[in-house]
Amino acid sequence: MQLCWNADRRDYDVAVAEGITSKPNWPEDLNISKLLKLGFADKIINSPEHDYVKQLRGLAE
Amino acid sequence: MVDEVKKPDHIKLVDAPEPDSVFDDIEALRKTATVKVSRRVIPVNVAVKKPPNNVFFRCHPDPAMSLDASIIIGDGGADDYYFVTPLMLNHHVILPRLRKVTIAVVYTWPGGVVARTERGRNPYRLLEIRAGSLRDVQREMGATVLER
Repeated sequence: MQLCWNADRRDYDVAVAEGITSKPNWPEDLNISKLLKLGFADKIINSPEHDYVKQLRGLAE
Repeated sequence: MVDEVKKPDHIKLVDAPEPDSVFDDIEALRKTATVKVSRRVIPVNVAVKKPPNNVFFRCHPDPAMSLDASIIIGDGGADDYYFVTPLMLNHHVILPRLRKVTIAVVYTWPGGVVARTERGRNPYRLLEIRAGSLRDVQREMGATVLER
């Protein structure tokens, strides 16, 4: 499927591919935990001392 | 005065031999060069992005490969997501900025080269995972963030 923002409806239009026949090749040795670790890496806010939180608090430039 | 040394008759000058080329025996090369490896997708990089509106994607069918979560958007714009742990959900700085999302593992068509060149410029891209093989990089697997 494909999502495209429709400003008039203020929602996404959903389109279905007309000719894609290949199937996904899902890795078997990955779980969502590993993917999230890769995806967010150092962008995990887990304390008020996180750099971005300090920036939002006006404690860091 | 130097006497000229007479060379023996059985020694003749010959052209220097051409160096052996690895391509001289092309058939032998074909045998040894046959690739006999299995393909395997090795994600090495994951970027959090929205699904681009010019790419088709399919979510992983296993519900365990998705997660309802809360994120905030950093000052880098739509491609700059921070995952907020439960402990920080009620922090006064975080709370007004929270976005409830579903993070899903998806497979996209097409991906690879297009995704690389547009990375960081397309505000709709959310999350992608680099694939390890040339074939798979054309349809790279990724995960995406869908706003709830």
